[in-house]
Amino acid sequence: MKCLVKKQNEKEPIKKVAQCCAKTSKTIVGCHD
Amino acid sequence: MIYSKHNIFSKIAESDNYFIVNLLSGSADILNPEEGQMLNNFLGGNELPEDFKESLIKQGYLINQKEEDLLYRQKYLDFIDTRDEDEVQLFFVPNYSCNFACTYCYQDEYSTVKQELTTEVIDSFFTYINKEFAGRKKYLTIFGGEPLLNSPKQKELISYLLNLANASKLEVCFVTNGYSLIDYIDILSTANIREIQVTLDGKGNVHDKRRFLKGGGATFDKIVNGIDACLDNQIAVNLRVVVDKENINGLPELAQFAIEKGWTESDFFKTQLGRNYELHHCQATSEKLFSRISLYETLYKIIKEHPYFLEFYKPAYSISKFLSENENLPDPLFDSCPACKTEWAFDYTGQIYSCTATVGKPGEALGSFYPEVTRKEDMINTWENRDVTVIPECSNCNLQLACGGGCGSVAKNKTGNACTTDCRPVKELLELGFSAYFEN
Repeated sequence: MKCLVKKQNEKEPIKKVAQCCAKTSKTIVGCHD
Repeated sequence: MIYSKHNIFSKIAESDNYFIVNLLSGSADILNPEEGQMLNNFLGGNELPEDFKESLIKQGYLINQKEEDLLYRQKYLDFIDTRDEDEVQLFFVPNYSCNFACTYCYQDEYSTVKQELTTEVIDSFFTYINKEFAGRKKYLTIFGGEPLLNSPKQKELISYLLNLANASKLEVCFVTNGYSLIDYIDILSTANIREIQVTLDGKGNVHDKRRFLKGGGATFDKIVNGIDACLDNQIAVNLRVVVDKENINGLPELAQFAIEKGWTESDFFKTQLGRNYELHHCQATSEKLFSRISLYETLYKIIKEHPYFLEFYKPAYSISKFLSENENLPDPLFDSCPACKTEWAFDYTGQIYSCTATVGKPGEALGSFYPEVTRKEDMINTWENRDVTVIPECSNCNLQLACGGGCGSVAKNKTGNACTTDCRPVKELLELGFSAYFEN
């Protein structure tokens, strides 16, 4: 098994966002489709 | 120990390897062919080798039922808390009229209201949002129809609106066809613009055959000049391409054009791809439309053939892109529908709606902010409460925390009830995404 998620102590803080609603890339759609 | 109901397990496209993802435990792994076969055998009723079983337990793919139920509740509460603190996107429609006659417009059956936007309506809009959303982070998106129509009256109203946005310290986005952007640069420069969404459906004629002026007339060159002007003035552009089978083959050419223009190098430029689809009514030529998965399958092939396309646009393939860029999974998505939670829409007639999909649609108004404030609380509650915990079809679906139940408006159009599903092909998207971003 090859783990693709860094262990907690290896993680740098990242902005967690719901994948379809990243505000900077959503002006209008993204939610309808 | 049980096999988690949130495991998403499948074979990676064009590979012998498999993937397994669990949004609840936050784990994602690639399995070699032997491990994939062992897991398939386990799902068929066979025992797992002890060391492999231990690995699956460690990653949360095998879990105690009570632990999983508790984790689900904790993550759900975290999701609600985070969303309550999230920014609200407030759409305002100054008009539904438009100078374009795009071949696929979903608003073309909206009836025209013989009423014009006034400064009084704009005043009422700001009074309402500053009271109703006091204390919440928020920003405005001006939508249409086409909001940037090139007339003195429209410019006056947009200027007035931007002055009030400045007074309320609100950032503003515009969704525009881009035709008159150049004529609005000075006005836009007075505001705190977060981004301008402009649509190009291809290069030159490919675009002009789909997005032309009412009465005919090419629009590509003027829009390109508008994008250049925005970038020159450090106004962020979010370029949208609406795609179907008629223009998909023109995507590499458009990407090449954007790269040669230097747009893709700009910090003020980004892109999004939108699928042409039937939101409210059927289209005359529905055979040209992609399903969600067939669009991404086609993009996958385009990128194999034209790797430079990734400079222009990198498909998400559900959570695949996020995982590859962050080495982490996003939080579980208990709800992908922002309507009445982090999104509201308002129009020039004084009506309030849940989102951009419903704004202006007969029967979808949730109340009014002008001439008086009214609210249809039952309808609002339905939208506010929609998430995967109240949609019956989601409760036993292993994809629920990646899909989030899809779009409430699309679901309502299909079933008459917003609290039903608009399923996303998460497993198939991940099969492509793991191939694209994790297999060499």
